[in-house]
Amino acid sequence: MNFLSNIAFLNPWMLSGLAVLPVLWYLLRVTPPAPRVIILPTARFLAGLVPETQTPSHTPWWILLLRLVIAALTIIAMAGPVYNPAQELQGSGPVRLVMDNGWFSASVWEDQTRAAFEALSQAERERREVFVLTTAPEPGETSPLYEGPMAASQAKSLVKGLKPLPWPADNKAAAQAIHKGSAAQIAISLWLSSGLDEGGMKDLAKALRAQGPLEIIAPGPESLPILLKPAEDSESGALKMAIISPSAMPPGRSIAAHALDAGGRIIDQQTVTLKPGAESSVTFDPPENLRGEIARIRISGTHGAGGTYLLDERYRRKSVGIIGPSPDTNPKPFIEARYFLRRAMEPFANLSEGQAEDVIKRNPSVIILPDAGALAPEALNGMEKWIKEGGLLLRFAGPDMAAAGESAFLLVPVPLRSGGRALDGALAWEKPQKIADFPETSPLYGIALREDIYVRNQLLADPVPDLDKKTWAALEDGTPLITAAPLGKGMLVMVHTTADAAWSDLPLSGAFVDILQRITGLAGMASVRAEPGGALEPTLVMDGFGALQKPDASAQIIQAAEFLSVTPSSRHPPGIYGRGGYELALNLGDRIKSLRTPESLPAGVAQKTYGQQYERDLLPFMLFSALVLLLSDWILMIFLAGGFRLAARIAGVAFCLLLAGASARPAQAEISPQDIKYASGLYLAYVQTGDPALDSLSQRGLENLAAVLKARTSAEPDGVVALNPETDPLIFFPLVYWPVSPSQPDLSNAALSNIQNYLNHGGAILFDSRDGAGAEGAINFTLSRLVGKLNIPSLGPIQKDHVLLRSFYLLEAYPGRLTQGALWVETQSAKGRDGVSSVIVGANDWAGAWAEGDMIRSTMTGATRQQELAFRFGVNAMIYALTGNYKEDQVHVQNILERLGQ
Amino acid sequence: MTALRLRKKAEDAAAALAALMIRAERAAHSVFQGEHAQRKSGAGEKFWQFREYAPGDRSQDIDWRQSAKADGLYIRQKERQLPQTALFWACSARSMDYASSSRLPAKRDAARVLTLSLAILMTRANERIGMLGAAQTGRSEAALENIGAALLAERDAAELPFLGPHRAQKNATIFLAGDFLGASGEMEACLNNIAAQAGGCVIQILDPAEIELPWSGRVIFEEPEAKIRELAPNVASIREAYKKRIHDHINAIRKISSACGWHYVLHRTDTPVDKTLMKIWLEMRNVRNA
Repeated sequence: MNFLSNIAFLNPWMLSGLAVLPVLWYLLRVTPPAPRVIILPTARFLAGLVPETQTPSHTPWWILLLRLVIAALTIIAMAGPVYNPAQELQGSGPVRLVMDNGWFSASVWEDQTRAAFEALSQAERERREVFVLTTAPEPGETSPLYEGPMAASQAKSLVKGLKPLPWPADNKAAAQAIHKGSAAQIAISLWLSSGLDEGGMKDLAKALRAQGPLEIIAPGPESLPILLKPAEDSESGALKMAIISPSAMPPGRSIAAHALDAGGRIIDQQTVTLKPGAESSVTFDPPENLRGEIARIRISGTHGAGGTYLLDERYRRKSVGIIGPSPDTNPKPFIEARYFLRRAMEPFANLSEGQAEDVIKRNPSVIILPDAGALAPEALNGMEKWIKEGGLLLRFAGPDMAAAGESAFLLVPVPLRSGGRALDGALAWEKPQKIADFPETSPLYGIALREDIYVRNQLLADPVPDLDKKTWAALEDGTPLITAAPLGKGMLVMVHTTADAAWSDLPLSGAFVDILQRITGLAGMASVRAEPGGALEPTLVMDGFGALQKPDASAQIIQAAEFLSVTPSSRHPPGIYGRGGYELALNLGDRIKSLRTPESLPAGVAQKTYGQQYERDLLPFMLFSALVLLLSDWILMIFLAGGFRLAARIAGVAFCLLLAGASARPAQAEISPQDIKYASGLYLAYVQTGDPALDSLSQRGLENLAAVLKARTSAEPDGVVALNPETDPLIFFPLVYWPVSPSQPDLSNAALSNIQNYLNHGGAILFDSRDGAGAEGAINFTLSRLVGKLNIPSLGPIQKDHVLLRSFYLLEAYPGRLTQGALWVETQSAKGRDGVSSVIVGANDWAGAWAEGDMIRSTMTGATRQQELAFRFGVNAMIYALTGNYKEDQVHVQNILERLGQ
Repeated sequence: MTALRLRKKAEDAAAALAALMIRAERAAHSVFQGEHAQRKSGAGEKFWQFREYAPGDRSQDIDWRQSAKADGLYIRQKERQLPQTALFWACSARSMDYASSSRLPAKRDAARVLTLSLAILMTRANERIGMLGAAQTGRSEAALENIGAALLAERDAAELPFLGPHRAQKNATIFLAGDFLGASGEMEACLNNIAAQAGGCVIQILDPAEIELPWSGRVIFEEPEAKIRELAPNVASIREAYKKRIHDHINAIRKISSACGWHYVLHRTDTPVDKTLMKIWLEMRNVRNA
């Protein structure tokens, strides 16, 4: 009853059509189905036959019922049934729809649009005018969209075109848009809110309230938006993220975060339980080799731009090679430069150490050369080539370099003066110097320096005109400490002091790690370093749902110097900004610190939550059911007209298909172990003739031939098989020996088709008529009686250069027990056999010769040479059956050799 | 049905019969042996009688074994055998084109196959064959081809055979194949006329639907060439009455046939042709042996 009470009709008067149903019933009942016309030659015998029973042929009652239901459904559908009908809108004037469409709307967008459409449908029914206002500025603009008045249907297509935008809403700008718009009194304003206050919500509520009543619809606390950002306490370079959620959210919700590569493939997944009002952190620890692939982090589900965090160069691990004397030993703690470098860089870089040549060979992104004297020319040349191809060389000064003087001052960004500058010597005037704050043009800008870092010793740069531009860091007195210059596609960076604590405190401070990380992050970005402070262009921007796309004209460039302070906005959507390969990511999570729910709203504002149940139009459902019933009625009519034989036939076909499906599997499983044995090895085979003496002769002959094959060729037969073509499958055997015996009975059709199938699929049969018939045209009647019905291509006497006589031995003759018999092969081989004869017909009784024990009795000339030749023919026949025309070229080898000789 | 298909079907039916024929031959040795016993001595294969030697008999005719058993000399005499002629006729009425289902052959096709199978078997038995009313008979392949061509070429829609000016030869056996759905009176007159000249066999070919009337519901039955339309409001209710009528008709034809001393065989198109062939053989043999 609950379901029925929730149904309303838009055109209830249409239901009066139901009154026609009884009339329809009467009409359908008395009109019997049309008779079928059947041609029957014996129709004359039907003349005047009076039916025994006078039952009138009426439409069956269930068909009547079916048709009445179809009619009723159609009438009800026409009346416009609606499930859960929407509430009527307040007042009677125009309706204003306020759509939140900032980044936080992505997660509740479905609710928002559904509520908007419900309200618009109701407005359409009530024929009210509609205003539509959004809260986030349009792309490239500063003010949001405000349209109206318009018809509700027009508003529907407008709302359909709305999308959440990837930047925060600007409620103040929205309030201004209202002031600018028409001052007409609004009957009701519906604010479809995302549930978050980005500031100014109160102002906008006041502005809306001033023109009429206001109703705010917000999502329930469980579907409030959440934001993905880097964890506050994350070490730089580590993939530690945090998810913040509004404090109103119920605790304990579990969410999965994915690390994706550029193509959207999931590389790592972590699950995290949300802590409302606080950060819940999640750390990704993918395998080292995949870490560099990670392009973005994303909360699974629809969370829009706030649920996606783009990673840039700062998060990629670089490979760094450190050139040192002995790569295998562990450096001495706190003494060697390698120790400091290792400790500083291990968290964010893949380190390798070794001699210059080895390091260059590994082709790292960055090579660090701590305090080196004069380098070997090969090492210098190799390194220069590597830098010009895009490498970054980071040098540290030191006593060795200072001592080596000019000869060590190759591959440096600025010319150096010989001899170090000692600031803290017994005889020095100067005090140790602090490091000045990094200038804004420097890539190191923003790194915090502790007060107690002193530089006691350094190598001095020659004052050349462009030294300022090349200086990234300087001491407080202005002498350059870190200088850099491009070289080819690569970069030279020089730190004018040591990488250990001998000349300065820098390696002992945290700033050392930051500096190394910044410099490492610059590897492969020549142009930015050449011109720090350039403008960054948008290369990829996010849409409201967090998907990356090419930017349009509304996305504008950001000055590199301002980048860190830019908040994503309608002019600067979140995304990847960069130039010439240097890329930085602008993320909502980097800039937005907390999520707030609205605190207090002006009095008289009604608040609601998005409903779980929405109005549902039942018309399509009704019409569809009517259509389905109509189709089933039609099928029933076919069955009734065609009688049940048609049904039986269809059922029969279906049953056969079922049976075929069911029987297909067991049939596949049945492979006899014998077949497996034959298929997995090489077996010689002969056909049983039914003559025991002949069969045993064939058996022994083939056994001997098998031994010969094994001894002389790479064909290693596993045994000899006697075949009965009536019952045994032949397909496993490359060659079948068939001694023709008059005592063999005629073959059945099944056996013939078995043999034909064998020949058609690559098999070969060696017929041996055993009568020594040599003359051409001599017909062996037994053979023609046995296999005359087979489809065999025409045969001809063998040519001297036939492959069969060349396949292993070069044979001139092919004797068996007899010597004069002719040998016949196919003159034109069947299609697809590459000229290989499927049938070899001979008369020399080879099995008789192969069966050794019988030699003395049967070899007419009594020579072992003849037996040897018989074996050679057997070997050739077997190799021929196995390799086909492979040896055909051998026939021409004489010609080929002659041509090569010329 | 093309000539080639017809011939192939007939050959198949006749080939399938080979095994049956062997059995039939074993059972009734003389049936369709080609040479038909004349029950008097003469040239033939079969032993007829021993007769005492009389002067003038050839000495090589003396049966020495028999003579040794008794006192006198005996001559072995063989039975005289003559070849027979088989004449065929297949009904070509429009109603023969009927087949109740696509799986069944049309009655006309069944008649053709039956007729040609019989003809093939007859030639194998060295009988002379020919179409009823045709001038020529023969025992060769050409005669078979003539029959096949005549079967395919028939155009005049004749419901009953008409014996032309060529009188059937003595010793001839006539095979009439058709549905014989016309009035039984006409059939009787026609058959009496033919039976006056020779014996034979009536093969009535009917579709199973014509016998069973398997439909149900409201149906109009139509017979286009006779311009008959019969509305059956409920087929199931008149089925039994119809069956009785059609069986009465079949029995009438059967009676007419036996009254003339002819054989009668009913062929339903859903039974294999060779089965009916076998039936024809057994039928002919029984009477011959009787």
